Amino acid sequence: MNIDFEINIYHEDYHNAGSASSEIKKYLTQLGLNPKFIRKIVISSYEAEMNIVIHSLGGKLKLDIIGNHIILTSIDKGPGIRDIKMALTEGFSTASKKVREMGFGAGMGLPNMKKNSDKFEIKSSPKGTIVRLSWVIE
Amino acid sequence: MKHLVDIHVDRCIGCTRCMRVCPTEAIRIKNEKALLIKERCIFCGNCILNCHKSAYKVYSDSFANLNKHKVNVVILPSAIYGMTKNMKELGGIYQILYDYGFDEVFDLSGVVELLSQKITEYIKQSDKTYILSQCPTVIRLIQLKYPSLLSNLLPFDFPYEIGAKIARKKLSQKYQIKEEDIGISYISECLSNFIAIKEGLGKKKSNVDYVFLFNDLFRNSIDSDQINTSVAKNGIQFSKAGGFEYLSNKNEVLSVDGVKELDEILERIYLNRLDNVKLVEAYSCIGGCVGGNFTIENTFVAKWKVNQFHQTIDESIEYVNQFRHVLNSRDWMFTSEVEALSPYKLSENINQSIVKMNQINQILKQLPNIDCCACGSPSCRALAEDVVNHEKTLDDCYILKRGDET
Ligand SMILES: Nc1ncnc2c1ncn2[C@@H]1O[C@H](COP(=O)(O)OP(=O)(O)O)[C@@H](O)[C@H]1O
Ligand code: SF4
Ligand code: SF4
Ligand SMILES: [Mg+2]
Repeated sequence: MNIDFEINIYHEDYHNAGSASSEIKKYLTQLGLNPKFIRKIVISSYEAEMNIVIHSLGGKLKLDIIGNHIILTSIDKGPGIRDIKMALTEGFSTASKKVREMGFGAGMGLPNMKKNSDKFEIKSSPKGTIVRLSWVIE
Repeated sequence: MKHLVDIHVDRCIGCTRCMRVCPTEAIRIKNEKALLIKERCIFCGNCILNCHKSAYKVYSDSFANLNKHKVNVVILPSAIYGMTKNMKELGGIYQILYDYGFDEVFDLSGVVELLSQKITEYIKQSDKTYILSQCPTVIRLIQLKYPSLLSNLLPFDFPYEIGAKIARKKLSQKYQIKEEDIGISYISECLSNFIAIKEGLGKKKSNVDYVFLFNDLFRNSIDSDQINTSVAKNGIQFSKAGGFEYLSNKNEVLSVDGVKELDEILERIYLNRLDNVKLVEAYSCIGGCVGGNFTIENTFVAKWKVNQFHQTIDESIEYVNQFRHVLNSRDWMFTSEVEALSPYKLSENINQSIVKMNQINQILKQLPNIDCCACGSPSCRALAEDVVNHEKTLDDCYILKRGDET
């Protein structure tokens, strides 16, 4: 039994930022999953969503449920992450002063995605970044 | 149990206004009449406020009940301080209540002042962000939408519940009668407290026996009266949003009012994006309780009046202290668990939910996705859900029907 769901996310769209994750939260709630489990997924999807808004040229979030796995994929159109190892360090951020003033850019997004998921994969090139997170349904 | 809110079917014209302002998709229009889905209602009262046909009715209690008791006490809602600028005007309020047949009037400001001291102590015990538990709509919203935040909710009961317990003890001694011979009434400033009492939120059964509605008992003009009463200077601040913030370490308290803003703040806590806040002082009504949906004074005038009143009174430790040791600490807290609710679950079984979810997505593809609400569901997606749940059919969509005709 599969499900698939996709939402487009635009560069610098701070006005709607977070709405994709709210949708995902609504979905998972309707499916009747455990609230604490849902929270891990939604926190991760929010960080992924914000990274597309802040750091990329735009992209999308995809949610798939395949068997007893939930897979969240974030795909964007670039410019990519130059040094993935560095980007994964807690507190590392290239966010501008303006973005920090809005309350983002603490450099905890990728580390938190990793911490909150069962499996974390990331691939990046100047053409774009793909982050794939998965969970075994609790 | 039937919902305590109902529709006058002869008045409702099915205009969809109430449905569109309901924050939790708890209303549908069926056969041109509004219909409430009780399990999803957070008691915010938006629907009642936005109905231009006065089609909502609320089942409050009858005064005839007072005859069952030897002594009747009425607990004053804190919203009352939004109508009174000084002690004389408060005296006028007491006189109105004596005229209604109450023997005693119980003021909550002392209880609330003590409660605020207890909260200040309580939140020191851990680093988490606590959420004030004074507004039942805040609690309902957490139960329904943010159940993982229930552990952030303070465990303290509503002030009128604590007040009711204190009043019952004190008055049974004063009059030398059994506790059940005392009838306890509350005048509710909002739908939220009304339903919380009627349904016993956070307990098996409320300590309050009867609830009346604020705007049924009071009119806007109040005569002054020289009645000897007391209030707690700081306690009255809690009748409005920001009262806690005003009296405490301001850096630690974030005050929020209004359902939409409240929802946003809860979401911030949910996403771990609200650092360094120890307590969120949260109210569903704009302005806090003085802005309750059954109050009569303009919310902002009411807030101003609270401040006026605050300035005219002196602090009285003796007044506050008389409520201090009447109950033990447990009695200040909820007695049953405030549990997670899941009225949005598509089915009890995840595989079946997934089947339904796919059906919803299929139906949604056929719908115009303009969320016009004419079908009587709050969005095209909600109609798709209603179709899958056999509550509605695709024929309810006006836009599709128009397409068929041409
Ligand atoms: N989708 C992306 N595209 C380009 N760069 C990204 C993307 N996601 C993350 N990065 C880079 O990795 C850094 C760390 O990301 P993150 O841990 O989410 O912290 P923050 O977003 O607070 O900067 C970002 O500052 C940015 O340089
Ligand atoms: S606002 Fe709601 S209850 Fe009032 S007339 Fe319109 S549909 Fe009926
Ligand atoms: S009280 Fe609020 S939540 Fe309940 S039906 Fe009315 S608008 Fe919806
Ligand atoms: Mg980030």
